[in-house]
Amino acid sequence: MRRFDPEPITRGPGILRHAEARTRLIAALLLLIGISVGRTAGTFIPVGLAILAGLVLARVRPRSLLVRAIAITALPLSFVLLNYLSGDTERALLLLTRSLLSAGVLLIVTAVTPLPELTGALSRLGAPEVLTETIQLVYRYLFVLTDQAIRMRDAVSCRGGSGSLLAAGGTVGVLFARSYARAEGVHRAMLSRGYTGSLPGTAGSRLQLADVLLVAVCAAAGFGGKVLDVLR
Amino acid sequence: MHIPDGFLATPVWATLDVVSLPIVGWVARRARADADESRTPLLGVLGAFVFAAQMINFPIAPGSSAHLLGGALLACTVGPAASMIVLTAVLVIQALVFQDGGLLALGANIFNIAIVGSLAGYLPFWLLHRNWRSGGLFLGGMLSVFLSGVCALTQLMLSGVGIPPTVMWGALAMFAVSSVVEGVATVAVVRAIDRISPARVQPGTGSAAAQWILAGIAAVLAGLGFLIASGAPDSLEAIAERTGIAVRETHFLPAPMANYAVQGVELESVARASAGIMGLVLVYLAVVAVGRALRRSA
Repeated sequence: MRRFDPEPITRGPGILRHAEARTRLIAALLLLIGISVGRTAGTFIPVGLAILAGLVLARVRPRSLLVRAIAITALPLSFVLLNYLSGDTERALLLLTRSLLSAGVLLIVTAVTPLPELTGALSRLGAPEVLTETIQLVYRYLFVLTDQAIRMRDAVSCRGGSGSLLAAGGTVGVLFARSYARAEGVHRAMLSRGYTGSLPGTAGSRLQLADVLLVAVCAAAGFGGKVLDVLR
Repeated sequence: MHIPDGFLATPVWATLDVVSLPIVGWVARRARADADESRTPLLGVLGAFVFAAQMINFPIAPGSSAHLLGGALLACTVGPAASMIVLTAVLVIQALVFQDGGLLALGANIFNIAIVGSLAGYLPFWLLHRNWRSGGLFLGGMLSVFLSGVCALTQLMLSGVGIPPTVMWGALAMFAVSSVVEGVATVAVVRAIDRISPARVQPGTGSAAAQWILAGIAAVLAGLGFLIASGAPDSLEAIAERTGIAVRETHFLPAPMANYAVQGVELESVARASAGIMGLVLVYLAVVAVGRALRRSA
């Protein structure tokens, strides 16, 4: 597993950041559902155009886009290849189109929505508080504990213990115990800062015309082609 | 195995979203109502631990290694309900920060990894912790990974993704190897935790009602399972029939429940149901006897 890289993939906040986080999430879901129910080029072209527009508006760096796209599509492409090799070219093409478009949607929404905004949006959409708080805390301590794990792994290697199952088990066991102790410390620190059982969330703004427009455009792009297909 | 978007058919992802999200919502709301507020930081830090633990490689053979996935370990340390919440949080972050797994497929991934993984990881530990703790942990680690993988594979096949038989068997073999590694790693980690902090890994007390429900499900499956079982011979019997070996089959001893039916009972359904129930009781008695013997020798 590689070291986590929190480097932003956009060149500053794009116009999509002006939309409320809930709207971005709902718009992405509409596009994804449109991709999932689509089967013909007529249904996929409007989604593709919407994604291209989204990438430009989100100011995504081309190099980062390429690196992420390769990482995201590695597993889907293996299934596409399997279907192609087994002679089902039509399904292979369908899977390829769907997975590329879906990856594009996910990439845009993650590029323009930092995690605190995302948990705030999930909370306002009705997700349980304990879940959104856990997500926030996991993300907060993810990099801290990962760095600690890497240091412990390197220390074990330096002592010549990297080839032993017992050493690996011991290392993870110590990491677990330290995580437990850290959680107790985190709780004490939170209490000292006035924690009363719920974390302060990100305040959401009121929905504006731009939000309605974004949802409408994504709904049209996601389902317009399908509706036209049905009408024909 | 995190399923990305674009692979599951709409009925499959929609059903799993409708099943998984309310389950996690219910578990989370109950956790909020039952637990004290110090639990939330613990869940968050343990979620980060799951990520971090994947940095430590477990050697499995010369030149190759694997890492702990942690579902069973979490379920055995903080309980299956808390484990579901932590794993769901991890899956949301993996989908929405690292683009590992889809957004529409989130329900499927939660079902496979958080719900099935946690329950399958916890159940053997809960059942065997008194008599054969290491066995329970090993089976828990193994089942959590294997069943999650099998669920993912089944959902892909239900969605019409073409998986040739050789690839499917290869994937199942890979899941089997990963699940054994997970089982061994879970035992190794819990032994290390026991040395550092002995009381940390304890199962919940579990209610008598839950045990009776489990026993009831087992009895229903054993007694009525033949109704949904395939009438076709299993793979070894089929091979034996095709190659002609089957005609040479001999029985050295008379069996009271040959072909999974009690001999002498005329009605076939009764004969099969009785055999199922009797088999269940015999297995239960055998497990109790072995457990007592192991406890005495320990």
